Amino acid sequence: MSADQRRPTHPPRGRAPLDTLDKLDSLRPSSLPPELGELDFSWDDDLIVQGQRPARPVLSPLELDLELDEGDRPTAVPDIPMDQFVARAMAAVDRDEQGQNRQSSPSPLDSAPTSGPPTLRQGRVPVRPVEAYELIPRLKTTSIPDLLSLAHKPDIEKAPLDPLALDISEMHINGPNRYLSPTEPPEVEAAFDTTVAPADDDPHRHTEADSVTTITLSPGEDTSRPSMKDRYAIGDFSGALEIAEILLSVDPSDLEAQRYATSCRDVLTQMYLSRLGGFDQVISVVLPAEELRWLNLDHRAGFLLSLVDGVSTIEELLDISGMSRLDALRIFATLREQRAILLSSR
Amino acid sequence: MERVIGIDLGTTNSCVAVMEGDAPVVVPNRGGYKTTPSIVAVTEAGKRLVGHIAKRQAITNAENTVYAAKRLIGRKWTSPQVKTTLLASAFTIVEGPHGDVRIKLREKTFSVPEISSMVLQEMKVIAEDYLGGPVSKAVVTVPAYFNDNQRQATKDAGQIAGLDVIRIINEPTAASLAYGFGKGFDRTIVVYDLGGGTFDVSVLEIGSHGVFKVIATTGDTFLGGEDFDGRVIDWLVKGFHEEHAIDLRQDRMALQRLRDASEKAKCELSSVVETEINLPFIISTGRNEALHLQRTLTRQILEELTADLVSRTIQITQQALLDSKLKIDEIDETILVGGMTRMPAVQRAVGQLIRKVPSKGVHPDEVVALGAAIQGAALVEERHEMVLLDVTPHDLGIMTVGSHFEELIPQNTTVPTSRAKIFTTSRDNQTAVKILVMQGESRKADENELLGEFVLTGLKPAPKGQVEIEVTFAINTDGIVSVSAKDMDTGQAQSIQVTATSGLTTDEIRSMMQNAQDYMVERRTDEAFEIERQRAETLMAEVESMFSVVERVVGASDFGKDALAKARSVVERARQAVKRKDSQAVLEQIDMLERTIRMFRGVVSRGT
Repeated sequence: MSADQRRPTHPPRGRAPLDTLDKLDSLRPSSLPPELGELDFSWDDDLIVQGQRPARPVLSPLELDLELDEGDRPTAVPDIPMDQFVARAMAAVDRDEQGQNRQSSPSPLDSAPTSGPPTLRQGRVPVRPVEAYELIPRLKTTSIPDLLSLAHKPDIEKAPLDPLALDISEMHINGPNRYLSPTEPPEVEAAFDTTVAPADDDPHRHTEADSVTTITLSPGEDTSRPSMKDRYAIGDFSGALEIAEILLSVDPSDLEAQRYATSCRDVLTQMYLSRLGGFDQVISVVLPAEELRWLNLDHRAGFLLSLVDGVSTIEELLDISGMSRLDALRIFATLREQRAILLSSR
Repeated sequence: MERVIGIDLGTTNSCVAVMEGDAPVVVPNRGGYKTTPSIVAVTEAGKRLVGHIAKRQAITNAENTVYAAKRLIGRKWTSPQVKTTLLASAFTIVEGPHGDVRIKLREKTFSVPEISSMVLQEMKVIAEDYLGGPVSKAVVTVPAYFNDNQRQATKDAGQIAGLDVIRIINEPTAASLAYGFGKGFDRTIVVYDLGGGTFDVSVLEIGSHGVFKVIATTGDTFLGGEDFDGRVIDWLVKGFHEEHAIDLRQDRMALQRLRDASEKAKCELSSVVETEINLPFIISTGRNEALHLQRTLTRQILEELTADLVSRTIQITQQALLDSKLKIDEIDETILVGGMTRMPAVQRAVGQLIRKVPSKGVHPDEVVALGAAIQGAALVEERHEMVLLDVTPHDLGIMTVGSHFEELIPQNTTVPTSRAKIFTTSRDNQTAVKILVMQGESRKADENELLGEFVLTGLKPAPKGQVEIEVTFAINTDGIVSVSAKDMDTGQAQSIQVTATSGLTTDEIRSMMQNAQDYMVERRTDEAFEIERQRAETLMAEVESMFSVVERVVGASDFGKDALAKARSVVERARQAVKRKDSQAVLEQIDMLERTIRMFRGVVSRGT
């Protein structure tokens, strides 16, 4: 392709032709709350006129054993650190497998749940219906099973406990939804969480010094292919990635492990990136040097912090980080949670 | 009138300047810096990095980061300088197809002019962004000791970068121009140039008629600011090892931070007497803890650590004065060039040697580029009183019996020019002579550079010394050297034309130029896409931030569920378009996102 052919062209913008607008009226939802009054119903004209389904994601779906619901949607990032979320989910699965019954507790979030039963995936990890909120990592549509998709649902009946369900009540959410848009200034707190020190009895304890691929597995844990798939199925992408890399170290030509590894990396990258606001965000260090020392960081986090100059974007820092992009993003996400860094648009 | 930029293509840092009215100004880069590191790197993802960003990963990605390419440009693979650089560099240097030098970065191999062209291209972009229009002409500076091949290679680098290098001028000459010398009266000046990687000292005689004669030049191509940084690094590493028994040099990330901090501390100590070096979490111990480095460096300690380096520069300067056959009190002025000359110890040492306060009116790291810009403007505006006369940079001559070098055209002769000398045979009944054309200042031929050779045959057999052979050297305005030899008795003659070569063929240069143009087109396209991408991501984030509120307001209704589902679909399609780098799709999705936001705002305002 020549340089000229690569130049992008900008399409004309416009609305749907008039003759299709009549057709649109017949498609208007009839259950619009009356108090909402006049709204711009044409905002989604293009979607209807084109008659298209949402575009498939670039990643080809993995040939997983799980059935995928074609209505899968991406959802928001959980409000607690992903590693804690996954760790607690795994712990809940383990406890439930031992036959312990637990009761769900009301959601500590202030967002109101909505009606409708949760999605129950056939044959695999069923989701325990609870008064829930969006906890799940943002997943690629159609390629990742949305097993943990829990929308706001006000009238969910408490179903009998499923042995493989998650124990939502044990997930401690620290105040209101912490997901901030890049345009919102972060809250500045006098005190901050100086360390991310997990409980000693947490089997999925990890340290900042570990790379993301060594976080979730403890000695003696199952590192087999079925375990990789199971972890993937329940959303433990870090654990699944770690096992995939172990399998690849044995047989680098293992196509299935390669696919799982690629998919896990993509999902995890998206998750961390969604916390950070995008590759174009500029990072600044907000903690003074003497306070930074109180954070339980390793030399890799220290190196990344040393690269931050208040001008370079995340993308530029990833180019010069000297480590994998996923590791660097994980560290930046952790530093952001620790309020050591501030993100802003260029 | 077309603008001509002046570029100081330095060993470690480059600088670009342009005339604004009657005064030259240095153009800052996007980061606001007036100099740009002459460093090129290729990341694991295949992305090219040039300048400051390349420098910040120079250690962590050492094998794929090229620095100090100027030490290699225009040199042959067999050159001793290349061998020394090969041993000192982490990046891979290989022999090229024409006996030249090539550099391997990731899976690709580049010629040295191509690497330098990437730096020149960056300077060109800096100038174009500042001037708001394209730039095609430049004056580029080179060290005074550069031979014709090195100068040609620098011109080739400019050509590859899309620049017509209308003149190559010597760095000490450019510095002198920036100080306003060359108009009015004759002067003798010393230019003391201590840069990031090299040290050069030149003695110039400046004539009021625009001729700048380099009467002596010498230096050390492996002595510069980086060596001063190295002393600070050694001091820090040693202290840390004594305290913790850990060698920080074994960790690349630690070494990168040490280098950056050492350079910063060194620069600060030019204006303050002590500075604190604070590097938290410099190294992990493997026991779930990381160690910190914190030390105070004083100016006194720095001067002690680097005293021998400063002494070395003074010794070299003394040698240059000896070579020039001038006494100290015959020196009218001393100019300081290069960032390292900001160091108080350096200024003191030079002042003590020359017994005068050096000229400091112009920033030492900008002065060469400013002089190049002045000369560029003079050439375009045809201000003859300001134009430097083109001169031969080195002596030209032939090798004679006993490996001696016989000069025919001395250094600093203005071109065009022509000189002839009579030679004779050295053996009885000699019927052929080999003419070896050489360039250099040494009286020993093997210490000079061989430019070309030819054989004159058909000589009449006679006792040695009785055959007369006239050898003529001619240099035209384009710098092409023609050498001819003629038997005065028989009239038999032979000649060659010597043109400087960088080691690249015309086709290779053409191909590299095309690659450079393609790179620039792709870069501009990427920059335009970057703006679209940022807009899309801002809108995506805004839509996502509204989900919870919209869900609370209308999530219970079918309309709400449908609206939220469609909004999520829009966000996902936008994300995929960004990932595919599909500019058209991104623009379409930006439109959808904006409409989604208007819709959501309407929902929220009515529902609250």
